[in-house]
Amino acid sequence: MSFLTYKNPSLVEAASVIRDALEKHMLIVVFGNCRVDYEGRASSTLEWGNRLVIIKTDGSVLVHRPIGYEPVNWQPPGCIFHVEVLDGELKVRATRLHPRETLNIFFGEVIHIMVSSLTDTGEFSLYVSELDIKKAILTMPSLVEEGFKPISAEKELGESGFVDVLGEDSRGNLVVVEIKRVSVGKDAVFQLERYVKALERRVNRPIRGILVAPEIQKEAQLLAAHRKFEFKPISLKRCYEVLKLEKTKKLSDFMV
Amino acid sequence: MFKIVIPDSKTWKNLMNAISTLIEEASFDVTPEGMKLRAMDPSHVAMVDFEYPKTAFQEYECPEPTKLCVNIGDMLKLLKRVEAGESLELSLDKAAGRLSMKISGKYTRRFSLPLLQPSTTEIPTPKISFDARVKLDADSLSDAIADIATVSEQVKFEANPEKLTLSGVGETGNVTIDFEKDSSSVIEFQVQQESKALYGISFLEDMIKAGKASSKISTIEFSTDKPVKIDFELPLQGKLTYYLAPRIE
Repeated sequence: MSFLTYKNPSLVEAASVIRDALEKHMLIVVFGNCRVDYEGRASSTLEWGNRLVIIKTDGSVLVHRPIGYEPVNWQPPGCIFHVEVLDGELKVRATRLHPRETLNIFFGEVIHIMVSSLTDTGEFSLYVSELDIKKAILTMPSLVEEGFKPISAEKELGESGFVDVLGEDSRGNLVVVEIKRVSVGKDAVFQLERYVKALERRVNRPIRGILVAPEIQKEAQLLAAHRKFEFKPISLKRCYEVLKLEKTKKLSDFMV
Repeated sequence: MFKIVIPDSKTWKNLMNAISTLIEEASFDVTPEGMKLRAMDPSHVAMVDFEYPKTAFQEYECPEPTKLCVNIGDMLKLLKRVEAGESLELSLDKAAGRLSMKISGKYTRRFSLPLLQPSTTEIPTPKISFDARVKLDADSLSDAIADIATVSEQVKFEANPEKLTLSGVGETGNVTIDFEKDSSSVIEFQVQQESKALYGISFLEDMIKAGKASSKISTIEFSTDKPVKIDFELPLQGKLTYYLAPRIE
């Protein structure tokens, strides 16, 4: 991994460092005082301020202010760059052609530039537990089906154990949801059957059993079909996104 | 064991309806002092805190504390059949494991509901100090929320010493509603510090719609990025209070 750092470069020096790094497809990190114009599907201007600008090796650009996790301005990968010093300002233009969008960053002062060629081939894996899937379903019940309304999580059914999620569908049927993180096997079907039977002894209304998991095993599919249980495939990535997007706080956060 | 008589079963129906906006199974504490219930919805975003003192009932006999857990949706189905002015008697048939409901009007009707396993978890109230407190007409509050619901799924509450503003931003338009401190729908107005918070509208709508059936007066209390507390004033120290956790922008 090569790494170069330039402290307090002049604007002309900064321009040549950035140009050179762009040519070599290196990662560029610039700290400096800048203003930003964007013209494209909308337009915006950002007044002078101290910021962190990142140009990634795929040609994407991020302009970060000192606060907030999201960039204030950005461009997606594949931008075409133009770097010049003009009227005492270092101008970095990042243009995207389709749709045409132009981001102009004008530096009045560059404090620090770092350039590096990073190698990163690691795979990104999602860790979504059964509990996470349940939380995602409680947050967004339509993951099970449209109109699904959870009544309780971890409903105890005496000796039969705990139901993952108990709810109601839009037609007023009781719905027992059994969640598996990887795939639905025979055991999951039998488990669901125990819950449904235990519930049938307690309530006098139609009960549906739904198995929720990324996939279902062939033999389990047959067993489920015999018992009129349904299988609802769920994507772990979707659960992850739902949980990440979850911006509603819990009341329990305020009880301690 | 207990025996409780409610002079007008419509009142009871409205209160049960208010509780049912958040939960399906209601676990009441019936004590010699009165009835109470505190419960959170399954996603733990909203809470209802209900208290009805014995003095609010026409008759109240409860020598020792009892837990009473019923499916509130089922209870409401029965109460839907009730007419204004009919009185309601609740009593426990412990041997049969059922709650008996006797409705007396022009003639007498008896229903019974199965008792469910009561939950044993005690829920504390959220610990929050509120910077803004506005007591206002519940109908106006309900209308404001309904206006905002036409464009947005969330409501921003903003309060300063002059007014309470509720607003919503959506793809189809924006709605802003101001309750100035001296406007006719505002009864009391105390804002110690400018406060701002965002709440999901679906819970708010359900809570306020259900709450205003029991009370014409509502009190909103909130602080920046903290839960909102909405209280509906009930006669004789009864209490119907909701809490709703904020959303973070």
